Amino acid sequence: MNKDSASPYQGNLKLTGTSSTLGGSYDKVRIVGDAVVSGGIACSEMRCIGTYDIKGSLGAGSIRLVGDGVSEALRAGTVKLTGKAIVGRDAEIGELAGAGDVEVGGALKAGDISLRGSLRVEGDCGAERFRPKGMFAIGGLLNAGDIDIKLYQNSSAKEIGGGRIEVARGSVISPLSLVFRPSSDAVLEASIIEGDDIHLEHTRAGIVRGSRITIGEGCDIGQVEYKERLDVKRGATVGEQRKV
Amino acid sequence: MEEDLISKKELLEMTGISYGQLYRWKRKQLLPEDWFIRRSAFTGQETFFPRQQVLGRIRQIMNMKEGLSLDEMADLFSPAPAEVDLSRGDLLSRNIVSRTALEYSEPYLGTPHTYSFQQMLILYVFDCSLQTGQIHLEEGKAMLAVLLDNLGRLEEYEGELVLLRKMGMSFALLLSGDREFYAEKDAKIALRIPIAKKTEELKLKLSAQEGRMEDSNGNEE
Repeated sequence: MNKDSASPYQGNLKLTGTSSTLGGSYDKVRIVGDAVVSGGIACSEMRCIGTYDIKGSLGAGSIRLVGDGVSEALRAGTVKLTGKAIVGRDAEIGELAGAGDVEVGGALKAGDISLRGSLRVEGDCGAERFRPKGMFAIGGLLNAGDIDIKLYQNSSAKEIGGGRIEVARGSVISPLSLVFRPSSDAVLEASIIEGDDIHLEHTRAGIVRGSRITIGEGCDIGQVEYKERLDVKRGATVGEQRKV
Repeated sequence: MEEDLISKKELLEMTGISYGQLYRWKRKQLLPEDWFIRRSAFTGQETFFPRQQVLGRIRQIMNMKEGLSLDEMADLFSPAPAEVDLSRGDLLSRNIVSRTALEYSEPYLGTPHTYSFQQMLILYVFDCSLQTGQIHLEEGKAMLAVLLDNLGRLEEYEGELVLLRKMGMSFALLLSGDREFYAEKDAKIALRIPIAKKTEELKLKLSAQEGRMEDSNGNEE
């Protein structure tokens, strides 16, 4: 992202073994082992095998984490992880991918989320594309242009809104299911779901509003309001339906 | 007093925009969070918007959609300052403020080499208030002074500049936030200027001009 000639970062930081350091601005940060950082870090690239515990904000062009990472606010171009990342406050991430757990204490704003595993967000979660495989719990609004959810365990969001919204159970024959088995009774719960094209399975919602809606197997929806088309499949329950 | 609100359903119907667009604009903060007002209605939880504001904003977005990206629009609507410095000559040649306003402002602002966004905003508001024709020059200067001393205290460029008059005396006030206020019976509100709106107008002027300058450079080559 940064041009080399005008890089605001000075030098690299390498931490091996159990170590603690102050924060600062660096070009590349490499951590192998357990690192405790007593301030914020800004860097162009961060790679960690092991754990980091940053008592401050973390800003990075890219983050590759194998292990566990804890920081306060987080701002990153890309985050790829195998393991667990905990963010105390808000997180802003261009692309979030990998396998594992992500916990955000504030709001999460992202371009692309394609996480396999578990995502917990206390506040709102906004993304251009939201394509998780696993489970998620979002305390506020899940707002994304394109939503493609594969449920492996019970998931929830207070409200869901966007362009295209698709919810289905994870497939048992995917390679992921060897380590992470889709639960046969996983459901998604939300009070309101609004979008242009909505296709739901195994979803419990109070209200679903949209233009073209399919309510599939295992759904229990209190009320559906649709503009163009509504298709209620067998094995779905819809309390009330209205064309508006 | 009941505000004039429009429901989300009615808004989509009136403007012809889709849920996808509405949520995208919300994500991009083209529609501010506090315009989304939740109320329970007989059909369950419903979202309402301040009617005039949201319809105005959607009209602006639709008009600008061709020329500007959503991110550029978001900068435009944001109450945060733009990052530009312009010289006196730029301000005049780009028609951002009038020569008259610039000259009257000299005792207050001096003649800096370049003007910061905040200084431009002060000048622009001063110019606009003079051009309303509803106030005297001295009152305009009082408004300029109150802005100069206090605009920096606002966290973002929101709030309102107000001129009160009573029996030939006038006072300029800078209010932080969109709050209602009540003056005594004999006092008259001569002018109210919402700062956020002027910020937006000024940014629009600045960005429109930048675009035109780039175009003309392109033609010369």
